[in-house]
Amino acid sequence: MSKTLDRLSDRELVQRCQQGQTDAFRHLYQRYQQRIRATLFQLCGDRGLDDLVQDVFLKAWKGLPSFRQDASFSTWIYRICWNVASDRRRQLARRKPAQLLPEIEQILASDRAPAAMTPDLMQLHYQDLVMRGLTGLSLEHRGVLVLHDLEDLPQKEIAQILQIPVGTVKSRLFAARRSLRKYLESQGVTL
Amino acid sequence: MNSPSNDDAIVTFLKRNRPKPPPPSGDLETRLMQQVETPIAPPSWQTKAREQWLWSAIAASFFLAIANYVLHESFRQPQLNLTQLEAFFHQNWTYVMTQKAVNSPADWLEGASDRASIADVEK
Repeated sequence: MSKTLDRLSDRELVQRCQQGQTDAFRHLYQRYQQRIRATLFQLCGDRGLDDLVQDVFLKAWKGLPSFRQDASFSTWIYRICWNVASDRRRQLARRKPAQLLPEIEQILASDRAPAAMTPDLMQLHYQDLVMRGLTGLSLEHRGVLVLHDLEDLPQKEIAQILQIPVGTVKSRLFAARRSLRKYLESQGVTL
Repeated sequence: MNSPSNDDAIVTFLKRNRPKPPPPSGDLETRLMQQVETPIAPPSWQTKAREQWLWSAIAASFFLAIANYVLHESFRQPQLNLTQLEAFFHQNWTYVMTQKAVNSPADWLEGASDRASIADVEK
């Protein structure tokens, strides 16, 4: 049964979900949860991440009966993800900025300079910088950058997810990259 | 303006140092599937009872409002009748005593002075 479901396309799984087959939905969850989780993390940070992921998939399950498959399931679930992230960002808007990764905090608290970091720590440091750079962008710019440069979605699909013209996707991507580059360079990263 | 090579450099950097989310809690999938598998419950008897109570309360409020209006109107009516009755008695008595219809306060005062003169004669 499980192997059969593995071979099914998203469209077929969605049809089975619409007939009430929860096993089919489990497969959709397993297929998409990593991407949705990563996107939510890059858009909202790690606080309450499990709840956000659960929220996205519960909304998808509840919305499946009325999903007519005009768009692909991927576009549709990213759209739900974007809505959940936008709601979350509004809630977080008044809170303090993201914390440093604990490992980086430890290093910076010690006398060791970043140059003395091991490659693993250096990568953690860069990941933290990227995360901070993303946090500094507006949600609109960050959304486009995350979906395009980190999630590898084509611009046309991003336009459908965010319900904006492709030209707007391009201009936001350009502005987001420029801002992020400026931030990274200010933090000593050579690109 | 950013050149394509500049864009490539930043995209490569982002991909290489992509922030990784923490792993999900072990029971996330189980919790989600439990919620998915829970059928949407029909309204419980408590909900139905609450709805019935609400409709009863609305009906009772409506009934009380109507009853209040009717009672208010019926209390006002005797007051009007009393005034009319008093005027009628006054006019009737004055007419009996003076054989003259009294329609205004002036007439009534006139009637009063007539009654006084009659009393004097009787004495």
